[in-house]
Amino acid sequence: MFDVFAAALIEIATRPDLLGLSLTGVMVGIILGALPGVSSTMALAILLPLSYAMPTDAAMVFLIGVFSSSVFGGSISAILINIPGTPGAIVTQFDGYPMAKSGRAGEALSYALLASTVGGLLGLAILSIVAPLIASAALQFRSPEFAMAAIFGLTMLAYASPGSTFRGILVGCIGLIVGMVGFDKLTDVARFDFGTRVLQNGIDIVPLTVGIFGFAEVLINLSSTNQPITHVARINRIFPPLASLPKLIAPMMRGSLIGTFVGAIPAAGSAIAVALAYAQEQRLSKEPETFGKGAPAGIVAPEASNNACVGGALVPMMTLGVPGDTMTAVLMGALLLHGLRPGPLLFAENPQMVGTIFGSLFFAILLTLVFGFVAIAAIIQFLKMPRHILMVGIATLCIFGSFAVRNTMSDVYIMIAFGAVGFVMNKLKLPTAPLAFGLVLGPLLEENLRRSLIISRGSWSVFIDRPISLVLILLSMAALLYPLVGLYRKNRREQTGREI
Amino acid sequence: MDNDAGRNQNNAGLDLGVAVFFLLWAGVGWVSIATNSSLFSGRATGLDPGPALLPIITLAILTAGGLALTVSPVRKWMSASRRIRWKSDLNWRPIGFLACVVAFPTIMHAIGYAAATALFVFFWSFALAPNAMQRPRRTLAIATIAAIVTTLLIYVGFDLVIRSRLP
Repeated sequence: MFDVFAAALIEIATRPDLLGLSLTGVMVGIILGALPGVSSTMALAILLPLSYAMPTDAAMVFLIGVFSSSVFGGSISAILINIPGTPGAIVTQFDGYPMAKSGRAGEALSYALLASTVGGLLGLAILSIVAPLIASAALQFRSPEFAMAAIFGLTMLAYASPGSTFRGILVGCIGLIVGMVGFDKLTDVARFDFGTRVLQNGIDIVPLTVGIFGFAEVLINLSSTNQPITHVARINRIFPPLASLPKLIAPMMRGSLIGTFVGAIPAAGSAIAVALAYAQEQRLSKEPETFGKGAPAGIVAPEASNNACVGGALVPMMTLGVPGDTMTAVLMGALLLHGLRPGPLLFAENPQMVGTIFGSLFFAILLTLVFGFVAIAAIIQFLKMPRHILMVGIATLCIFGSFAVRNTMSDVYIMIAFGAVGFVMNKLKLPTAPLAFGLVLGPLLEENLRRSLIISRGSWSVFIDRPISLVLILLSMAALLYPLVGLYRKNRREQTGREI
Repeated sequence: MDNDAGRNQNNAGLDLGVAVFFLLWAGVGWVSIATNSSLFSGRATGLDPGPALLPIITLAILTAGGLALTVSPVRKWMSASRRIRWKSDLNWRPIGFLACVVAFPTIMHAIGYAAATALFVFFWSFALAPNAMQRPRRTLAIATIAAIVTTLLIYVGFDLVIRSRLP
């Protein structure tokens, strides 16, 4: 695997077009990630259509540049204006903003940037070691395991989504239905099409993701009457004192390890990883009282963890074909758009593409470091852009982006419809991520479910006869039942309290 | 106590909304299945369970889930004052914006993408600007710049670079 990785690194380094795309992705990713109201997933979703016309390797280089750098971008607004640009930057503001307020904004940004680089590289190193091993083990997977892996991915996302797991599962079911719109691949029977040609073509991943992660967010932003006035802290000195760095190595390493492992759990997400990394650092610190007041360790640990999550989240996507989080679900959509299905077979049949993904991530991390230091003063000017103009611009990008993939207006209407659905779901406090997961995992689930039943001559016991499939079923059931146990305990406590 | 009752009524409204949302999807799905005779026409041959299997399982879960979610708001309604309070925090800005976006493709076909984009961005950059009426000249200038820059970006990105066939 390392020779493929090395070959991809040389390929990217020696091709100006790929390097240029990586740098463009990094620049756009940092800027979009830094803007409040634009999440990493939204950045990736609205830029996904632009990658459609590119060759697959170029598209991956560009999108991974956006994916990786937007994570650091989210920390810029967390540090400078106390509004996290991405969910993974929520914890960074605890110490980043107080440090910025005390006139050390440049130092805080540098700590975040250095920690992002360390976390990103460690996450990539673990990804490149672990992923081929898991993929080779996953080659033993057959249809029942793949079907149950898809169910496991959906259940875990529903479990990790805000609100109830049960509602998350139901949203996932809607995603599955949306994924079944159009002709069935095995029998050519049209489903959920209502006799319309628009729906017979099926619902493409691009208008759906652009709609629910892009356009819906624009509508949500417009519905908020309190548009915060942005006061950006002054940067002053950029480089932190060298003497402060050695004692931050351990927090960075601990944060990176936490981030990689949490990121690798399907759907766990960076918000959980950063919270764990911060809590761990505060617990281990000799000066826990400095946390929340501008402690450098309170910035570097979550930042390293946040960026290590990128590598971690790619593990389940690349090895099992199950996205690790919403961003990797969009990235998986990009691979599907280019005719590639992530999973163990990708390692066996297309190792060059695996190498390109690893190589792209490596360059994205390095270019984020370079661009971050060189252009930080220019980047923060974007934070002063009026929010309403940004939202109008993004809406325009959503319209043209969804049109551009198949050059059809019906995709624009589908995007608008899913934007409206995402907006309604936000008002109903329902998670939108399982919808995209359902769409991405639906075909994998259906194909393998039916194939399993064909092989077993209609016997459903095939799913419990095979040990890995059984384990995945048990894990999915645990994720479903655990919240019920919690609810039962809470009710009992309340009843006992009332009796007393 | 009154606050608790009010909160309960609001929650009941939201929970009922959630249940209706899922039941609507399920209802549309069932209608589609019921009116699709080819789904059960035996084109699924041999041991293949057929194209109707997963849709039926998924819709059954969605229907059962939606119905289960109606239980809690109905119980709250029964135990409270038999009124569900609909929390109305709806803002008309996103609805107007959405309506305009729905009309956008039609306008684009009529006057071309460049003019439609410029008009759309100009109008909404002005309409959404805070204190637009206090500083109309400044707001108009910003809206004009936003319209020109956005249209140029769309032209470069989609027309020149990825050669999309924009109307």
